[in-house]
Amino acid sequence: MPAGLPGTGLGGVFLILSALLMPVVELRRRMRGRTGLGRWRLVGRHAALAIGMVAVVLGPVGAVYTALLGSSPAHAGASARSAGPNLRGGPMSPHVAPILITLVALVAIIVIAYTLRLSLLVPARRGRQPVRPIDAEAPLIESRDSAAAGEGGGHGGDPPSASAAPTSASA
Amino acid sequence: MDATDPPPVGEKTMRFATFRGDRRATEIAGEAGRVEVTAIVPAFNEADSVVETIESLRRQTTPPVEIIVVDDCSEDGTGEVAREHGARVLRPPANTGSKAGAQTFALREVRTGLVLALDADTVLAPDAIQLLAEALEDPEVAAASGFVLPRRVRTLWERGRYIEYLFMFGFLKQIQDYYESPLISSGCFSIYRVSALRALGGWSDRTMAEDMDLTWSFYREGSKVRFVPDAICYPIEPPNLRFMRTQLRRWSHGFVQNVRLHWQGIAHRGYLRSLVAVACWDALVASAAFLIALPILAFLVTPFFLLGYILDAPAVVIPVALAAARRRELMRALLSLPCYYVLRFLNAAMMLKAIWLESVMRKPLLVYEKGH
Repeated sequence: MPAGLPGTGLGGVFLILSALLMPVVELRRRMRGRTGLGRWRLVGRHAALAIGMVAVVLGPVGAVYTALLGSSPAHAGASARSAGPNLRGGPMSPHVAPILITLVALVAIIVIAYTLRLSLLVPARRGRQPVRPIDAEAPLIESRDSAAAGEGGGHGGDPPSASAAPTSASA
Repeated sequence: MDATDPPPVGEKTMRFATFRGDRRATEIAGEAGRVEVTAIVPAFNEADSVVETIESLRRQTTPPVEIIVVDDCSEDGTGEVAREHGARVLRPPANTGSKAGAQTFALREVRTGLVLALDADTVLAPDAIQLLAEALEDPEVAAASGFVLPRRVRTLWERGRYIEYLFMFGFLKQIQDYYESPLISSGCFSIYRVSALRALGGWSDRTMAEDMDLTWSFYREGSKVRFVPDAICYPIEPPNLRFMRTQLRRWSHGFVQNVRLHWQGIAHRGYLRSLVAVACWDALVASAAFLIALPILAFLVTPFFLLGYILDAPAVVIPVALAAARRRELMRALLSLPCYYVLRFLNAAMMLKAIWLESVMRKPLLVYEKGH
C-alpha cells in the first residue's frame, strides 16, 4: 500500500483476497511447470493467515454492522416492527452486507483500472519519455583527491538539481 | 581491511559463481566468479550514524568490494568520519538537493555489476547483501529489497512504524512478491543491477519518492523486482512528530507524483495496476473516511461509528504477532499496537493533504526534506 496506509480499507481486503487465491494460482503455475514444491509452504502459510484474518474480522464487522443498524432511527422503527429477524435471518445478514459492499467496490475499482488501461494503451506508448543513460566514464570530483591535490572541476553531464538550502540524504 | 580488498571467499559466497550463461546473469560476477557489489551510502550530516552503517557493511557474509559514501556537503564532518573508517568518500561540488541526486552522482564510479543503495542511518543483518544478491541471479530481475525494521522502538512514532513494518513486510509485501509486483523496492536498502539502473539514468529526482519512481520504471521496461523477506535492515525511523511529518509529507507527495507520472507505464501489468488503483482509492477514500466521515457520523448518528477506526485490528494483530513471535518480540509488538493507530491517523492526514495540494491546488512538493 502507499506510504502510511498499509491494511487500511480496500487495500487490505485486496491483499487478503490475493493471499486466499494463492493456492489456485500456485496450482496453475505448477501445472504449467513454472514452480516447485517448495513454494507451497509460502502459499499455505499466507493462505492460512488470510483465512484466520477473515475469520477474526467477520465477528467484529457483523457486530458493528448490527450495532449501527440498531442505532439508526429509521432502522430502529423497522426493527421494532419486525422484532429483529431482518438482521439475523433476513435476506441480508449482518455479516453479508458489509462484505458484499466491500467486494462490489473492489471489483468496480479493478474494472475501472482495466478500462482505463484499454483506453490509454496507445497514448502510453506515445508518451514514453526517453531516458538519458549515465556516462560511466564522465569525470567527477572526488573529495579525497581534491583535498590532496587541489583538483577541481565539474562531475560531467548536467549538474544535479540543487536546492537553496542543503537538504537530502538518507530517509 | 581496506575498502578495495576482495571479500573473503566463503562457501556461501561461492554459490554465486554458478550462473547461467546469460549475459545479464554473468555480469554480476567479478573476475574471480564471485558476486561483486558496490555500496553507495548517501549522507548529509550523518556523522553520528555512518560509522555503524560502514561497519555493518564490512561484517557482511558477502561484503561490498567498495563502499562509497556520498558526503552531500555535510557540515558535521561526515566525510572525514567515513574516510577514517575506510570508505571512499565522494563530495559533490554543491549539495545535490536529494538522496537520488547524491546516489546518481556516485553511480558513474561504480565498476561492479551490482550496486547496493543503503541509507547512512541503516545497518544490515550479516547475510543481507548475500540474500539480496541471490535474487538477482535471475537475469530478468533488476532490483531487490529486503525486510525493514526500525532499529529503535522507543517513542510513540517509532512503535507505530514498527507495527506498520511488521504488517507490511511480514505479510503484505510477501503477497505482492508472490504476484511479482512489489509496490516499492525500498530506498533505504535495495540492490540493483547496474546496467538496468544506468539504462534508466540512475535515480531520478523528478519525484519525492525516488525508490517508487525507480521501481515502477523497471516494471515499465519489463524488468522484475523482488522482495526478499529474510534480508533484514534496521534504519533509524523518525522519533518525533516533526520528523515523522516531514518523512510522510515526502512519501505521500511522492506517491501522488508517481501515480501521475507512471500510471500509463504500469497499466499493462495486471496485478500491479489493480494494486495501485486500490491504493489510490485507499489514499483518498480511506483517508477521507478516517478524518471526516467517521467523526461526523459518530457525532450525528451513533458513536458506534468510532469503532471503524479499529475494525481491522484483529486482522492486523495476526500477521504482526506471528512476525514478532518469530523474532521473539511478541510483547513489544502487542504493547506497540495502539501506536500504530495513532500513526495511521497522521498517515491519513498527510495523504489527504498531499492529494489536495498535488491534484487540486497544483502545488507539488519540489524540495526534498530530510526526514530525520
